[in-house]
Formats: sequence, C-alpha cells, structure tokens
Amino acid sequence: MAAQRALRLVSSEPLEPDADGVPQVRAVLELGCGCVVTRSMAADRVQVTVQGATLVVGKFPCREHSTPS
Amino acid sequence: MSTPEDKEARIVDARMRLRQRFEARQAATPALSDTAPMGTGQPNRHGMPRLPPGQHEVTNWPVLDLGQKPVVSKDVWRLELFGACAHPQVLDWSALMALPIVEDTSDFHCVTTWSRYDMRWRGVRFSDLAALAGVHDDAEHVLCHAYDHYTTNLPLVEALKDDVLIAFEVDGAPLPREHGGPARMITPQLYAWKGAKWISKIEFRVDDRPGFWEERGYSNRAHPWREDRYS
Repeated sequence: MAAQRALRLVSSEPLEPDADGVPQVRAVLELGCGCVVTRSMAADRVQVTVQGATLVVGKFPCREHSTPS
Repeated sequence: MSTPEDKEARIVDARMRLRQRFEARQAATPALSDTAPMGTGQPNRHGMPRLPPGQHEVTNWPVLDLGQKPVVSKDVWRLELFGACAHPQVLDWSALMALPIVEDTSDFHCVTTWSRYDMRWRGVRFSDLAALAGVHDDAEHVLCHAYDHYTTNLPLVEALKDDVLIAFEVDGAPLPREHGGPARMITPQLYAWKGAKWISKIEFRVDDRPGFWEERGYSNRAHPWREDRYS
C-alpha cells in the first residue's frame, strides 16, 4: 500500500467539522494509480489554484498499488 | 572553561570550514546549476522557472501532516543536535533565539503538486546550527526528527544552503501550530516534505538513512525542477 496523489476530484460533499472545528468533506478521488476511492478529509485539502483549477492535495494510500504515483 | 568569545570564534571557524568544504558542490546542485530546467514562468532568484513542472500555484496554505498536530509550547520546546558532530547539544528556545536570526522570502513547493510564492520567513540558518554542532568532516547526510515522530533525510550539502532555515515566523506572525509551530525546517530548493514540521532533533550522519516518506517510495533527492517526486 503506497501513497498516491489525487489526479481528479470526482465529487465532494460537506461533513460535520471535526473535534477541533475544522470543516470536513467526503471526497471521491481518482488517484494517480487509476483507482477511485472515497476519503474524508479537511475541506481545505480541496484547493482552487490561481488558474482556477480544482486540486486535491495530500498523499492518499491505495490498497491495490505498492508504488507511489 | 570556554568563554562566549571562544564559542563564537569556534562557530565562525566551523562555518568557514563548512563553506569551503561544500561551496563548489552546493553550486553544482540541480536547483542552482541545471542549464535546461523544467517548469514555467519567470526565473526565480536562482534562475529556475518560478513554477516547477507539475506544480500548481495556490494562494492559501494547505495543511498536511501524519494525522496529528503536536502541541509544543516554547517553554518545553527543545532541539537536539547529535550524531556525527563534535559538540552534540540540546537547545532550548532562548538558545535558539540567541543565534543569528535571518529573514528570507522564498517559494514553497509541496510534492502534492501545489506551490505558494513569496513566503516571508524568519528563523535561524541550518548552517549556523551545523557550525554550532561542529559537524564532523566525514558527515554527508542529515536525518531530521519531529515531535510527531515524523522523520526525513536530506544531503548535508542541501541542508547547508543559505535559505534552509529553522523557521519560527511566517508572513510576520508566529508559525502556527498546524504548520509546525513553534519551529519547523524549510527547504526552498527541495520539495517541502524535506523540511520537518515540529522539528525536535537534527542528526548528522556519515551514512544515509531514509525518513518516513523516503521509506515509502518518495525520492531521496526531491528536486522540484526535475520533478523528482518518487524513487
């Protein structure tokens, strides 16, 4: 199981904030290895770049692939 | 018993010897020497394209960590210097503040493909800590340890660059806890995971030893302008 980057945000929905009050989302991601996974994460992991593109930042483990991408 | 003047003279001497030993090799590192670097945008202060390949500019500052954000007050914060050095020691906050403090504005490139420009840092140069510790002549590597048990390794030649800091302020304010406060390391010429948040120990090593992400397939070198993300 290795960490993958997110290539694309397929969808997301807001969740309740965590214990520290940090807003959370449940996101469906297409990872660099090609797998599509659902992950809960801090809402600010979903970024809008200066060029206006949506970017999901982080290293996301994938059970299917053993090398990072 | 050595006087403060003795100590200062020893640090200056150690700094000069480190500079002599690493100056040429430092100038040959990729972020300073690539003649055809990848990336886009106007040249940065080292002549590299402002935005390394595969990166996206953002204006806020995402928070990434191993899942916990340790609470470390300045009162209990300590930085241990140990390993291949003549003067292993533990610094408390006042000892860190007694070292030369510098300000520098640099770009921040995260391996998760975002970059933030023009971050204004205040901190202590890693090279001054290396001089204080009296790094042995055969030391070539550094392994940094953090309060959240994160580790990361980098070559000493990269760690000694002038823009590598143990930073405690950013953009005019104390470094927030979620970004590694009270102090973190920054490595502007490498991907940012090489700079440990909540840094607690700096280990000087003769041999290389991979850190947390390096053991999990991430690059030992981490050169942004070569898109050197994975090993």
